[in-house]
Amino acid sequence: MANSTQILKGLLEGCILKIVSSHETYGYKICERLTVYGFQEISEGSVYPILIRLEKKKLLYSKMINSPLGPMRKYYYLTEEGINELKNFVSSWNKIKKNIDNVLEG
Amino acid sequence: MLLEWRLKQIRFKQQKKLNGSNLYLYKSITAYIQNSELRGTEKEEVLQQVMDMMLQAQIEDKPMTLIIGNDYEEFCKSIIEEYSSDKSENYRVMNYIQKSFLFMIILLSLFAILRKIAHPSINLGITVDSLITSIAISFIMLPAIKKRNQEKSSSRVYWYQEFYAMNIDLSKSSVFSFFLAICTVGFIRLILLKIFGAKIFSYTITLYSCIQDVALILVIIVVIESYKKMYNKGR
Repeated sequence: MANSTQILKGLLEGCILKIVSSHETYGYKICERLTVYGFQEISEGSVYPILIRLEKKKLLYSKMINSPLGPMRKYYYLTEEGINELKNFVSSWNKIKKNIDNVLEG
Repeated sequence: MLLEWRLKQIRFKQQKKLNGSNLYLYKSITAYIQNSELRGTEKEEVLQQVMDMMLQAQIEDKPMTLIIGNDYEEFCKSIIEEYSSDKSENYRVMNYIQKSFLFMIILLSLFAILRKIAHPSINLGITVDSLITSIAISFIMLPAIKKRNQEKSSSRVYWYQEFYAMNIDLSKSSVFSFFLAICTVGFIRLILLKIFGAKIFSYTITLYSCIQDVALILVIIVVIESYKKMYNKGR
């Protein structure tokens, strides 16, 4: 099932874009949200590397602000490209979901 | 540079808030990231974010696996891969040359100063022997030591344990690099011995006679730094 892990990690990118689109957020909160949505095992250890990737792809941008805990914290926001990517993700996912539903329902 | 220094100050101050086992984990991550090829600011950004997430998990009594996963080395590797994914082979080679040259200059300066202190009457300079040693250390051994420090980042507790580990538990890549460094020194010495005879090793290269070469190396370091800045700006 190694491939399913890879597929899920790919889907995590879309999920993270969706979480960031709702409101400004930061690494820990994103981990927490994903856990609440049931992604605990798959998101463990992979959220921060994905955030770096999304920022490199210019789908996200960040601002470093002092956190109440002491360290400088990166808050993430969606770029224009990120908004378009999220739209593409949602539309692709709906198509895939519909196709898989069709297959499973026979 | 200023941001890097500021982040470092915050990191040193705030990491004390982590409890024993979390601090140990954080220090292991720090050792791994510090010995990577990442740029100074990239390293500090990563360490700052990791600490922020770990502190919050600690306060909320959540497991560190939520952020780091089960294997901190895998976590660090994936971060380094993400940062390095868009760096070309040229960039990596240039980075290697720049860092090696820089370390070589520092090492040679140290040799020259120590030699001057030991023999105040002689001119400031280095012997051919120390030049060969500096090249081998800077271009071969230093990258190997960094790699070894990454591999052993979790076992770094006390210096004597580090020294012990260094002598009994060298990784294959470190042993190979150490062997390669000795072979390089031996090979260069052999060639020089055949061509110039044994006297060559004690021959002194004065600072005055090699000032142009030193200037050229410094120019290369600066040019590579500019190349790296432009490269990263375009990303």
